[in-house]
Amino acid sequence: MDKTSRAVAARLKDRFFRTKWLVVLVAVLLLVFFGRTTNIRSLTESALVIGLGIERTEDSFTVSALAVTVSGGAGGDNTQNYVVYTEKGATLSEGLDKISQKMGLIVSLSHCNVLVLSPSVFSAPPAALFDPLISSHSLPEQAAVTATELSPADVLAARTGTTVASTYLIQSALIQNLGGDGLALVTVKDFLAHMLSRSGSVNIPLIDIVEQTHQPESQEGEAQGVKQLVMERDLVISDGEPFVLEKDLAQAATMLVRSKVYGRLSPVLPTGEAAEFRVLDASPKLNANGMSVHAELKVSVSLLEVQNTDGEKVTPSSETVQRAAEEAARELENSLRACHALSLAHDADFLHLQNEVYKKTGYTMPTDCLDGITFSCSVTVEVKEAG
Amino acid sequence: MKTTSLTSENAVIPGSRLSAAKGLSALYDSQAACLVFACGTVFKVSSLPGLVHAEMLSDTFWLYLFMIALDILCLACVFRYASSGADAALRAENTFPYRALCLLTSLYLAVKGAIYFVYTVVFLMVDLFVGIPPYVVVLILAAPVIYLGVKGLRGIARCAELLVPVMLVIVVANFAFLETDLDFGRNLPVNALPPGEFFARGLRFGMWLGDMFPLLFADIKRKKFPFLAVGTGVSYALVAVTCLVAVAMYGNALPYVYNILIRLSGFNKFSLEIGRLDWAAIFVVIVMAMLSLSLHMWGAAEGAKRVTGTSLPALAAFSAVIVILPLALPNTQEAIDFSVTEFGYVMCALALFIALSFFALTFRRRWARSAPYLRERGVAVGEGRNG
Repeated sequence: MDKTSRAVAARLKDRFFRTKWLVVLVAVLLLVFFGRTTNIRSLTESALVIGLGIERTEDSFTVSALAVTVSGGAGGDNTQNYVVYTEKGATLSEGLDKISQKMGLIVSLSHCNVLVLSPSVFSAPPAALFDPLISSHSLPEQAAVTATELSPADVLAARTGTTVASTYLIQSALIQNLGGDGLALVTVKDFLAHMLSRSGSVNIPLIDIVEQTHQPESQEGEAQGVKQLVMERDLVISDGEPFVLEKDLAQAATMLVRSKVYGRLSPVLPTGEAAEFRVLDASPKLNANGMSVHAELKVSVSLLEVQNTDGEKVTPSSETVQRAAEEAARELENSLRACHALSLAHDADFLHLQNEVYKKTGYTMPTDCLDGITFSCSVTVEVKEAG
Repeated sequence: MKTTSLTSENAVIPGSRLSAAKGLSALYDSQAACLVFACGTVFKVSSLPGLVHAEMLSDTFWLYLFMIALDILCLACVFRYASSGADAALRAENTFPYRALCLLTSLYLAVKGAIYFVYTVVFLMVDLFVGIPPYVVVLILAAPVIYLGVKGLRGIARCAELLVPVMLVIVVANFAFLETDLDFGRNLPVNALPPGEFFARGLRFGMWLGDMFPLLFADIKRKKFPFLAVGTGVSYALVAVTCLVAVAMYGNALPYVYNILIRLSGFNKFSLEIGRLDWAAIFVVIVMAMLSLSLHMWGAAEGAKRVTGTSLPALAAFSAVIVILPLALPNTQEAIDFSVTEFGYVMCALALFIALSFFALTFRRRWARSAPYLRERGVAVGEGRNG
């Protein structure tokens, strides 16, 4: 390239960059053009789904969506309505599309915080179930995964005492532990992480609906049709058939495999004293040595009360309280052993023993070796002053 | 410390015959450090952890440590060469081996830039522009990349200098306020794969080495503070921590994550109050990706300029390829799949070859500046310092 052409090129380049504001303007115009021609839906054209229920029959999915619809009123007042729609489809997306058509609104899962799944759903591979919901329908990975043996649509539509929508209650119950002892939040992300691990199993909260014996009463009179959502049991998901963990077992198993667990321990001593502790923290530790795993669980609790005593002043260091703590530890130990027996019986490693052995042995670990792992456990319950 | 802005006038080395050319590619080491943070890490902390985990399982983090060590080696060679002034002398000599090496580097950067561009399009379409035609994403992304690439190194470096502090704060805040279930044990076992398999699979990710090769054509001026060492340390620590946390969060579900930095930002302590803050990470990722892509474009053009005397054809070819390739591919995922085949071995070998070759040229330059060489060329010793 000779000197003249180099100078011309430099001049052109200079002129081009002097017009950078023109370039910025063109870029803005492009964005505005694409913005106007791209279909951006307003809030009133969308159905914000806050809870999703899924059931599965042999060849189709039944999808239920609890949606909030916002309608504009006079003077800028907006009213919110909570509605549950249910549709069937060969795929989840088809079910959601049919709900969209039925509602006349575009379904958006980006605000969906609760999934209520029927046990039949778990016959599908977990990634095939959740990946389309996350990537195609913007389901947040923080959404809580729960199960029910009832119809998910009934759970979503249940009228509960204090909240306008059942999913708000489920969400707060799992986060603030209002649902049951030792139940913990299992998010979509955690569900997939556990199911795709070597153990390939996870326990998730199971929701039951109970008719209230006494309906709430207000100044307008007795409310009708208010139900109670009970979450005290877990559903264990694995490659095989899902099965239910009853209350005490669910609490012990959850304490061993989750990092944040709250709830209560209510031991009754053989001498008749009944104590009530609030769980402050549970620190599980699983140690694998070859094909044997030892679980060590340290539970910190605070004392709530002791009944059936002789009237002496009860403090955390009282002998009765210490005996109650030992009793609680014994009960938890027994529950953990029962959990292990159940996991062997169902070939479902929800205590994640294979994960621990795998961490030590690596690629030499045989696949599906739950039967060959020996399990032992020790539990200590420490009563703290504050709580 | 006194700070001065680096202009083409004050960046040149007095007395150098290549002062004008040097001025256009000169930058301070503080700017280079910002570029390392913005351009050297972005593709390692976005899609890569998921891709690596699909092959390497719990060895992901350990492969990252190994590849980081290799990449730091490449980076050291780049910085040594770029701050030695060797490039100016070699350009003056314009030998065939030097031109061949520049051509190879140019092609290497062009191929990488094109594949990285497809990566960026894929994660934007998955995480941001869901349901938008690909050509809109391609055109909008290509415009600033081409603009910055044509404008040159100093424009890119100044953008990085301005934006990196903001991006660093956002990334650190994402980690500081991260709230999710983490199990760092998911990074174990170290021997998830036999050693032979570890390297056979791991080296397929060789394309992610040498992201800073464009700086081979820069002239780095040192300040007192060791910006390069600190910038490199912070950047690669961020890469390692991101990988460690990603595996701890997702375990074997990590391959379903298209962009870990964006997903990380979704899990924050305030997600229930102020939302998931994905936008903050999207801003960081897009800006960093744009800077990196434009740096690759500039690097490819500079390499070609040393061979052909002009960068115009390379700039035009690069622009055409990044626009046409993602639109021409029937499935953009094909480019990603291709990048982790045996192609990765080739890119890994090329990265090491290029880095070590330029490092060797640094010694060649030293030798060229030595007294015997100058005497042989008939130059009085002490006069021919600037080649």
